Amino acid sequence: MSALIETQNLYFQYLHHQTKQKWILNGIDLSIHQGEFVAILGPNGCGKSTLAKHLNGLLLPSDGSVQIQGMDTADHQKLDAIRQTVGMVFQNPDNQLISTLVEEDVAFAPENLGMKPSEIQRRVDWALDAVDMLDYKRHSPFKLSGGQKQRIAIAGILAMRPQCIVMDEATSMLDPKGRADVMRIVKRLNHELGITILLITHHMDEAAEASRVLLMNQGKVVMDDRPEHVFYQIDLLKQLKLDVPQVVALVLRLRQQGIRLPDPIIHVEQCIDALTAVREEDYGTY
Amino acid sequence: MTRDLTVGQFIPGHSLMHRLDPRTKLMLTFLFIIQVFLTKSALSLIFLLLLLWIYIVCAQVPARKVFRAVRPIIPVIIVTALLNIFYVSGHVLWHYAFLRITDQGLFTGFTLLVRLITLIAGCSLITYTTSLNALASGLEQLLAPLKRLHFPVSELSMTLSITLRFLPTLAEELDRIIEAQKARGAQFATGTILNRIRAFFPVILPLFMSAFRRAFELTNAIECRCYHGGEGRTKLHPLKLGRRDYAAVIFFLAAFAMTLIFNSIRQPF
Repeated sequence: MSALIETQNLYFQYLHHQTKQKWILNGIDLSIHQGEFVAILGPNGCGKSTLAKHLNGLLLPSDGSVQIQGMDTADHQKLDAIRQTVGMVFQNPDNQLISTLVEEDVAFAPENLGMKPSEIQRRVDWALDAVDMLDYKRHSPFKLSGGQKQRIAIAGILAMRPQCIVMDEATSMLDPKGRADVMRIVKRLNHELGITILLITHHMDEAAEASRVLLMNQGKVVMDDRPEHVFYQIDLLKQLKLDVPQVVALVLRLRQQGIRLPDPIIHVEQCIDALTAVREEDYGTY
Repeated sequence: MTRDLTVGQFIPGHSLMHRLDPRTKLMLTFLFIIQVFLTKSALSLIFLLLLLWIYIVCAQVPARKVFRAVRPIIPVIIVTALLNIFYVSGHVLWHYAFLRITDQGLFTGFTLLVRLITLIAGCSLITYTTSLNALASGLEQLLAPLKRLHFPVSELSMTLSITLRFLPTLAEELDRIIEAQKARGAQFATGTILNRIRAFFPVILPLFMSAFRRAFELTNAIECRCYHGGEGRTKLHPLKLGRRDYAAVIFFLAAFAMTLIFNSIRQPF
């Protein structure tokens, strides 16, 4: 089976034929398969968002190509199909909501696609239910919290029934509660509906939820591996000015103290389990 | 400063007025405005107030909210009414130097006061009872014949609805910028007029910058959701004229006729 998203030799710079500036995207070869949960990490200005905007044709490559289920994003005829396949959620929920009624906002995409009213209604209800916001159907989005607004924005994308959702720092403006709610929904969409998730984030704990982490720097993918491998590349993370995840930092300190912990620990729960196991082992020796 | 902003403050509900087709509401609002301007006699004035009361009840909007919409323009209304009191000729009731108050002037001033308040209050009802999208699509359908002349009706309606949608957001932003500049020692209410105008540049500039940034993000967001103009778009709730709408039109036309009749009945004023 071919990949859902495939970039080949992707280079990009705004107005590249006029300015001779260095590439924002500097040769990216990537393939992402159906159902994956990929986190993209990297310092500011490394090209994460620019890459994201290439994945549904908001930007077109200066060189190389981007294929979505075999469709080239440069093919103008396929743009609607591509945007229905890969949806995108942005940072500020206020700048994505276009209506003063939750239901009408979620209906925006199906309306643009010219669906029948009954089908639109079905999709709106389904999408709102998928993000746990069905009760707010007839509400105005402005009275909702940031996390709730962002879930409405996700529903607005879900209404197109996409194969993949790209979250472009979609949690960075939210409070901890809103962030947790959005992450819970995103994980559920991935697990239960098999929707591919691309999560661009600065939060290491969010990236730890992913099944694959891409580390980007200066327009290149410098590492592409499971989070438990990426997070223990302490030198690389520090070099890219990224935080070492708290759990990893703790595990490393404990190891320095001579506590033997099993290898890939990246979640708080794993850490607790490992520590409990160590303690029971110690009791066993008495 | 931005508290009084009532544009676009839709109050969700299921009242009689809420359930009318937006096209009907737009047309009837227009009719109502004409009716208000045609109101001349005391009798039709009383009738107008009665109508306004009926409409407010039908809209199930708290009267408090309706008059909050009127409040910002009360000074204008009062000045206009006062001018009329002094300028209209008639039977002189009181005079001092060049000022004269006549019975006709008093009546005209008072009539104007009531008419303007009724006008604003009546028009506020449509924004309170109609969601912006409904309003925009109502307008789109009413203007649809202009499409033949290559007039971008759908785009206009989309622009309108986005403008109204972002007004409160930008108003909030304006407040925030003013607070931020105040915290940095900016003074807005002192100095000469020139200085005061100059003091607003540090407010207007960031507001514009932020509006542009929002516009870019919004463009991306609506493109992601497959927007490409009005062509081929459908609606979640297509507009449908019902029996209710015809009844409302008949009621409004009857009320209009009543005003004309009340105007022509001979009265003391």
